[in-house]
Amino acid sequence: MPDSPVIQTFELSKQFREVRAVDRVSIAVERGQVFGFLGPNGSGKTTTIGMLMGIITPTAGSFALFGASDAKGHLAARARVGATLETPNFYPYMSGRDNLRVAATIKDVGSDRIDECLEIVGLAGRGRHRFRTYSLGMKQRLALAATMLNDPELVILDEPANGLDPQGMKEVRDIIRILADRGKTIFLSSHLLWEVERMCTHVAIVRKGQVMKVGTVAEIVSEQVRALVRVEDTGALEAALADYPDATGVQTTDEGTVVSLKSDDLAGLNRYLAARGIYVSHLARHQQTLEDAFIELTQGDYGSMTEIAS
Amino acid sequence: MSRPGTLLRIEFIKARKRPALWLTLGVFVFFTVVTVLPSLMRAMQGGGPGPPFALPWIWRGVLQPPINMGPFFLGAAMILLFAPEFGWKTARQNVIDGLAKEHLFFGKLITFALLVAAFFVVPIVTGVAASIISPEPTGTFARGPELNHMFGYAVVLCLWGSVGFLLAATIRASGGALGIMFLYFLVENMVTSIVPAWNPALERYLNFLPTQLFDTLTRIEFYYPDALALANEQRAAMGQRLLEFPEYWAVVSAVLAYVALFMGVSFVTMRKRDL
Ligand SMILES: Nc1ncnc2c1ncn2[C@@H]1O[C@H](COP(=O)(O)OP(=O)(O)O)[C@@H](O)[C@H]1O
Ligand SMILES: [Mg+2]
Repeated sequence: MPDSPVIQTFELSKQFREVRAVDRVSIAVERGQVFGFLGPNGSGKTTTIGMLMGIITPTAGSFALFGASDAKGHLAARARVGATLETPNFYPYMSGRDNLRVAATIKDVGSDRIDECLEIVGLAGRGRHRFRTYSLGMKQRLALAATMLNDPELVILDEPANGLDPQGMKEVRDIIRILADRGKTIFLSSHLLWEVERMCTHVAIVRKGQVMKVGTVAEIVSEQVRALVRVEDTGALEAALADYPDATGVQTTDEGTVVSLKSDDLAGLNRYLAARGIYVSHLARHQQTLEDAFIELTQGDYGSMTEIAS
Repeated sequence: MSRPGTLLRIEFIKARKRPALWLTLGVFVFFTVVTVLPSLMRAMQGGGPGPPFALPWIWRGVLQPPINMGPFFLGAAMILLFAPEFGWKTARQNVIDGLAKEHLFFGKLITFALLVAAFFVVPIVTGVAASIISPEPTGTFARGPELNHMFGYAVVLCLWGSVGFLLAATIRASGGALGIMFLYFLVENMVTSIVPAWNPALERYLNFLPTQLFDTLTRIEFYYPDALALANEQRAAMGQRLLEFPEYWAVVSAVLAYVALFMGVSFVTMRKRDL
């Protein structure tokens, strides 16, 4: 089945006691995509990946890896995957090298590959040191090295740049780019949009366990007509727009107020506002960015916008 | 590579550099030697009362307190080699890297078997070595009662090993698992000392609780009729109740049933629960 998606989920769901962590998630990741799985903290990203990797049992729905949808097929398919989940998970008392040896033995790859992978992530000089002496950045890089051991066709990274400094994040991005250039399929989760937006070809935006939107970056970004309006009195503007039949959404940001419109009639909007005594200092067509879409779709889940805006 | 081979290799890599394992095993070896030394010295100075300190009689002098604490050390070692895999999330990573959850169980089962072998071999090797050093005349390796004694010791190693295994698989934290193991030991001993006074009919059943079986299987009087006769002579003289034991095979079967039960529950738990 050469055409089956690398990952496909069918209404995949997980209910923890009271929490519906993953709620009927249906996505498909095709070969060669860099797929961003984006959502705020607690939106079910880790749980979804955990189900794909066989450590969490779904409570409903199913999934296929490389077209295989039964337990035996999943296990075999996992040999073609390299993945990290949440924090780097290693034996603290063992050296980085010995930790990779455990993974390499499971994946049935030789020890020369361990050295290669340590080299790629820049840990060749520290391989003999105990894992517990590593900095967070080194731990993350060791996790990346572990995912690469079996030269996987699919790389799944759960918040790969979590806790890294800008330099560390850049290094992680570089490694991901190298993998993508080699034609690997990459499935990447993040709650930090800017961390991944430049790398992804496709995105799913999740919120409270549900997929809000999925598609290419261009598809996610709304084709809807939007106008950016700046006025003196934003309150009056919002009040006026509430009655404007063509407006489907209003969102006030630092830049001004973004109005989603049913039609392309910006002049009509201007006339409507002027008739209500609201004179705009700025009125222009507004192209939504991925970040705008993300904020809109996950609105209310962030106490402040600083986390995604920083 | 075959799965059992893979599992053995990764368990070996993990255990090799684990200080907790070598510390536990080291303390056990120390206890074993400390137990055997006084008897060996006495034997070298001409011997004392009782059977000679040489094969096959040596086993009742070797597999006695505090070596009979070996099973506890084994249970502790089992917990220390198993439970932290959940806290470190390495069990999780092993599955992500390609093992099935069932493989995790079988990997630890291999560790369990190797621990039992190690804790069995230490006193046996010590006993044989002591017998070689001891000037007293050496006979056969072991006769019926001694073989029963050794087997009883091995069975009781499996019992506490499986208790450790079960606690590690369910509690998933070494501190909590160790605490519960020792707490259980205390509570069961308290219950079995209080309840018979209140309802003597229950004593027969209480004898089949894990700690009581352990107690029986580590008593010299359980295996050697002459030791039992001697102990009961003294008890009779002091007006105490005489020692009575259930059948050897009843005790051994009960322990093996516990082992099977604990391992079965562990397997189901490992298989069902998320990592
Ligand atoms: N083992 C668990 N038991 C109960 N609730 C859990 C468990 N794991 C995750 N959750 C809950 O499920 C939701 C999704 O968590 P998670 O998948 O970790 O989100 P994300 O990775 O997107 O931050 C959260 O509300 C979290 O508290
Ligand atoms: Mg997460």
